[in-house]
Amino acid sequence: MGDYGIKLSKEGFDVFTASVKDQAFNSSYNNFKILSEGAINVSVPSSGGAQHIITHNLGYTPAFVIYGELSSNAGSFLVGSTDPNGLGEGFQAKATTTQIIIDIDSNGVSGYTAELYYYIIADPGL
Amino acid sequence: MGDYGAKVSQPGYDVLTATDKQLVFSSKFNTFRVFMNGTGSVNLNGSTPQTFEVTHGLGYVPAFMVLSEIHTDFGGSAGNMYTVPFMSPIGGDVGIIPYADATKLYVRYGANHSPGAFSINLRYFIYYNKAK
Repeated sequence: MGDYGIKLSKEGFDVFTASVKDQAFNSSYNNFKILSEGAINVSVPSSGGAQHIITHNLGYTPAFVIYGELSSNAGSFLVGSTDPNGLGEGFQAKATTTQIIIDIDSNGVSGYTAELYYYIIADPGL
Repeated sequence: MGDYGAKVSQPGYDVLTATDKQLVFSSKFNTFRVFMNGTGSVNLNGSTPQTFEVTHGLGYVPAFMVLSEIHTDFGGSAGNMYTVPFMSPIGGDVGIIPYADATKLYVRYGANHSPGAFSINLRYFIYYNKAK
């Protein structure tokens, strides 16, 4: 088999000599492939937290990324964050071979709507 | 319209039969595309939170990733970059928390992340992809 594949260099770099970090794409290296993505609004009560489950049924545990805006409405945080502008609420998530399970904290004072956006990646998370 | 597009399989897999996770690339799937990236530094003072800000101006909340040094009290050393959010079980306002709105990316360093004056470096990636 010969030396084949696709590579694209960044603007200003010669594709024949550009190092990998100066390339926009190189088929020799894996890329995150987004299998599915979407927005979710979750009603979170003032106490006890809330859970939202996304079913993927991939048969393996995928990588994933989730962003979420919590009760302070200060902006969107990465999963695993506690909102420093809020009342101590945060959110966490885990993946299994069938589901993404998201747990969102209550703020202890009032109910709110958590605005989440998720990405499920084709590449395994395990 | 027919079944068309481009895909590239990982070494050892036939592109015609490879599963999605055995592909390097497939035009069937969206990917994370970097809108901007850069570096910054924040001077911590040991008493008040400090927030790094960068304007993206996309008009919507973008996805992002941030790497940051952490204080030596947490095991960090110059040039060692950690993914954030960084949360510590010791409690207190010690976390490093990135977040974004429709105009800016913010990286907030807790008031007690450093016991005194300390300069800390970070790198950010802001994607075209949405976070909201």
